[in-house]
Amino acid sequence: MVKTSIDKEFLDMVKQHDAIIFKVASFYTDNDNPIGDLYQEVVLNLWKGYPSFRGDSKPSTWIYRIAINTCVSFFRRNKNKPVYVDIREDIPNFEDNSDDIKELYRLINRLEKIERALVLLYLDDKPYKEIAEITGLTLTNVATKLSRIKEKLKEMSNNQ
Amino acid sequence: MDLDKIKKSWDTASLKPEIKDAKIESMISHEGQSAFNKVLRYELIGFVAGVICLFASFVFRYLPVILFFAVSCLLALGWQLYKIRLLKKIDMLKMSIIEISRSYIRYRRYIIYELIFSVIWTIIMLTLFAYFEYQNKWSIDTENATRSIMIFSICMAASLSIGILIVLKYFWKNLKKLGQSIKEVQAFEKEEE
Repeated sequence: MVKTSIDKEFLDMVKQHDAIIFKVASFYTDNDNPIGDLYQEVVLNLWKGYPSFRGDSKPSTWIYRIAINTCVSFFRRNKNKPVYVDIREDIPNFEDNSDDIKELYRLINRLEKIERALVLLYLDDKPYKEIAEITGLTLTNVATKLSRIKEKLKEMSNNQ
Repeated sequence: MDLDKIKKSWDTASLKPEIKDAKIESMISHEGQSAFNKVLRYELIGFVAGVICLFASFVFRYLPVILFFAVSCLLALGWQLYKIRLLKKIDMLKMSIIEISRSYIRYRRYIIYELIFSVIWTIIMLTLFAYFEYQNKWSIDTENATRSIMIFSICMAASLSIGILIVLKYFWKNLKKLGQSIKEVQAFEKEEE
C-alpha cells in the first residue's frame, strides 16, 4: 500500500524509467549476480537517494548514474544473499531478441565494467556530453574511449 | 559487430520489464537489506567482535600469548575502522564511475589479502598457544620433548603452507579479475589527466 506522496512519486518515476534500470542491470549480470538482484539493488539505491534528488539533472540522467554505479560496485560479502523479491516472471526473455542483440550481449560480457557503461549509453543515443555527465568522465575521454570500444567490439566479433 | 548499425535493433529490443507496483514497494521496504548495507553491517560487526576479543585476551595464561593476541586485536580494530571509512565514503549519487570502481576494487582486494593474512595469523597464534601450553609438559617429559617439538613444528609448517595455497588458489582468479579492472580504471584515469 502506498503510504506517502513521496512513495507514489518514486513509484511513478521507477515505472517510467524501468527500462533504463533493466538495461543497465542486463549489461552487468552474470551467474553470480542475477539480473533480478541487480535490478532491485538499483531500486534500493534510487530510493535511498530520492529524498536528496532536487531535479538538478534530468531524472533519467540521475537514474543512469545511480544504476551504473550500483552495478559496477555490486558485491556480496557472504554467500547468504540479501532478501530480494522474486521478479523472474516479470523479466523479458532475451531469446526473443534479434541475433544482433544476442551477439551484443555475448560480447558485452567480455568488456570491462566502465566500457560496458559507455556502450550502453551510446546505444541509448545519449550525446557525449550527457554520457560525460552521467559517468563523471571528461568529454574527450568519452569520445576517445568510445572510438576504441567500437574497434574492440568489431575485432572481437571478427575473431569469433 | 558495428555499434552504429546495431542501434536500430537496440531501439526495438525487448528490454522492458513488467513489474507491478506492489513488488517495487516490497523492494523498497527492504532498504536495509541491500547488498551494500549488508557488507557495511558485516564490517561493523567485525569491529564489535574485535573489541570483545580484545577484552577476552586475558583468558590466555601466558603473557607472550596475551600480548600477541591483544596487539593483533588492536591492529584488527584499526583495520576494521579503515575499511568502514572506505565503505562509508562510497556515494553512488555523487561519485564518478572511476571513483566508484576504484573504491570497489580496493575493498575487494583488501578482503582477499585479509583472508590470506588471517590464515597466517591463525597458524602463528595456534603455534604460540600450543608452544606455551605444552612447554611445561615437555620440560617434565624431556625424553620425548625433542621429538614432540619436531612433529609439532612440521605439522604447523605444513598447515601454514596448505592453508596459504588453498586460499591463494581459491582467490587467484578473483585477484586476476581485479587486476584487469584496475588496469581499466588506470587507463581511464590516464586519459582524464
